[in-house]
Amino acid sequence: MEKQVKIVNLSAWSILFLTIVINAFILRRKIVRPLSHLEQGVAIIGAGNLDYRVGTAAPDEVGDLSRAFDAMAANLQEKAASLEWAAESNAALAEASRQYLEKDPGEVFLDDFSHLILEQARSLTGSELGYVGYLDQVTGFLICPTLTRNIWETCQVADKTVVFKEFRGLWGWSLDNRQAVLTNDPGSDPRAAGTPPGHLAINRFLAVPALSEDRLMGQIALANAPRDYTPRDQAVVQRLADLYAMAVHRQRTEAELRLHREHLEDLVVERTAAVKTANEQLEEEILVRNRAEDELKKTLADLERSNQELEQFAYVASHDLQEPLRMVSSYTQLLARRYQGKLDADAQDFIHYAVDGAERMQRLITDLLAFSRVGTRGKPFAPTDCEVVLAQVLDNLKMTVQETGAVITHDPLPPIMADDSQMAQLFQNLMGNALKFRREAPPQIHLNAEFQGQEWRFSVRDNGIGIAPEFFDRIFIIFQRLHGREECTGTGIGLAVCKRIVDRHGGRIWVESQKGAGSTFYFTIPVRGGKTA
Amino acid sequence: MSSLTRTWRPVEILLVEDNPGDVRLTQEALKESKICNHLSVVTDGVEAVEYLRREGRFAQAVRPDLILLDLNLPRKNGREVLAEIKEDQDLRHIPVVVLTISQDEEDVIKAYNLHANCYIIKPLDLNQFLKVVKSIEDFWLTIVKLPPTGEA
Repeated sequence: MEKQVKIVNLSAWSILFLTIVINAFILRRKIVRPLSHLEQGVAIIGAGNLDYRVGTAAPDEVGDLSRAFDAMAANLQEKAASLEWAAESNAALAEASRQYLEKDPGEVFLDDFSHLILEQARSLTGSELGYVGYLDQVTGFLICPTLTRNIWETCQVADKTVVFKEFRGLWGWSLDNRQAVLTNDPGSDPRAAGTPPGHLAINRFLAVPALSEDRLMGQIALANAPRDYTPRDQAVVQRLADLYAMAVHRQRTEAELRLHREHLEDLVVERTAAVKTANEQLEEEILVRNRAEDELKKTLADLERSNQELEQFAYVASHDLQEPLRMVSSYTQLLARRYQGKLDADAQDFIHYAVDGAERMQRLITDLLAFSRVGTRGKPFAPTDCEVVLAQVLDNLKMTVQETGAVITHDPLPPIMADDSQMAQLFQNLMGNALKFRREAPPQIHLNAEFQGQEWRFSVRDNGIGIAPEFFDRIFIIFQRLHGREECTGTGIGLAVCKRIVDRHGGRIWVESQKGAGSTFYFTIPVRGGKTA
Repeated sequence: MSSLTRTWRPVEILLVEDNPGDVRLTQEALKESKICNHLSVVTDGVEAVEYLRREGRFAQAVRPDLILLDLNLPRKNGREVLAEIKEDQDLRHIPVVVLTISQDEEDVIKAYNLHANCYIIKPLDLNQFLKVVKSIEDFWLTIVKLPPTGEA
């Protein structure tokens, strides 16, 4: 019984051992090996190979773990790539910014900067072709200082000009619409216009406009990357384009500034020269003018003195002439009076001529005195009512008016600033003439005053004998008489006095007339303040 | 009933005039006068003042009742004579008729400012002149009551 037990015991242990061995084998195959594989994978990925994947199809927990790990690795790889891109593009932008900031914005700056931007954009996107260009401010043409250099030589386009005068196709659309164009199938894009003969084939295309405050400055265009363009490409190229726009803007401003400065410098030089010349001329002119002024002053003083002397002479002469004249006239009259009836007819005639001559001379002297008095005995100008003046004159002329049966009418006359005595003399002389130079019919005289701008224009119209046009000017000159002694009594001073009076008041006097059809005398008196002559 | 009709002596008139022609004319005009008058004549301003102050050869001069004074005089002009008369306590009461050819307003104003009693412009016409002299007589020697004479 014991032996049997022992045998049973032994076989039971064997079975147990076998079972354990079998189980261990299964465990190793199903768990340990995948785990080890996973462990190896983790080590590889951990070493930096993000391309490696554990890769298992096992449906158990270890499989799940492996797949999760692979996903994580892929994610990590993507993140890393993204970071790398960001670093690359930041480096590119930093380089471009540095260039932008460091380089003197001279004339070649924009050319160099265009190259830099193109190279950065190409290397970031892996583009085979591309250009960077800016808009000419004046012409609006797109000027590309740079096309992909290695392509330039192989490009077969006949006209290799880098100035685009017309915007066409996809790039043109981008410029016209100020929007980016991104296409990986340009052949089927309706906006595409194809390429000119000989142009390299375009299979992918990315164009970004360079805008500065909504103003189109230029463009970055790229083509034929080995892979599809992505929005990420567009974004980074856009940032380069922004920087480029700033550069173009700065270039423009600088150019304008330079132009202004140069212009200003030119202007300063020019003006300085002009001012110098003008100064010299001015000095010369001043010298000449001073000399002329001195001479003029001297002449004027001479003239004034001579004028004064002349007036004084006329006054004194006419004044002193009266004395002897009075003697001649008085004694001839006394002679006639005392010896009336005792003298023969001849003696009576002689006395008559002597008296007549004396009378005539008397009138001349009186008029001459009046003439010289206009200048020497004028009163300061004061408010003068022409209606009052006219009433006084009409009173003076009352006798003549009655004798001739004259009809005198007038429109309302204004108040003016004048010497009232002289105005009275002026009216009286003009109306006296109108009464004197009458025709058979009774004289009709009409006075009028019209306000014209800065002055009053007076007119005295008559229906008298009129004046021939050739005498219009002469009548205002002293001693110019148009009529013989027998025809009319006049000294030829009356209108000269009128002219002097009007001159003194700063006005003009003239006549309009037709021989035999009456005359109208006009004169103007300027409106002025209370100042004196 | 004139103021002077009572006096026994003729009316004394002093004419200050340098022009003999004018003197004669005035004399001729006064000849036709109805009033008994005596005309004395001096021919310049200095003489006029001497006459009035009875200086030198005029010591016996009779003080005039009326002075006819021309303005334009040699040596001392009429305005100066007028001023001296009117500044003189003894003479200022004597009426002075300025008789001149000057129509100048300034002369007129000056004369009155110097207290001329009246200002007359000599007419050129003889008849007018005769009329003026007659008017002077009528007014100054007949109508006007003059201060009493013979004092001082």
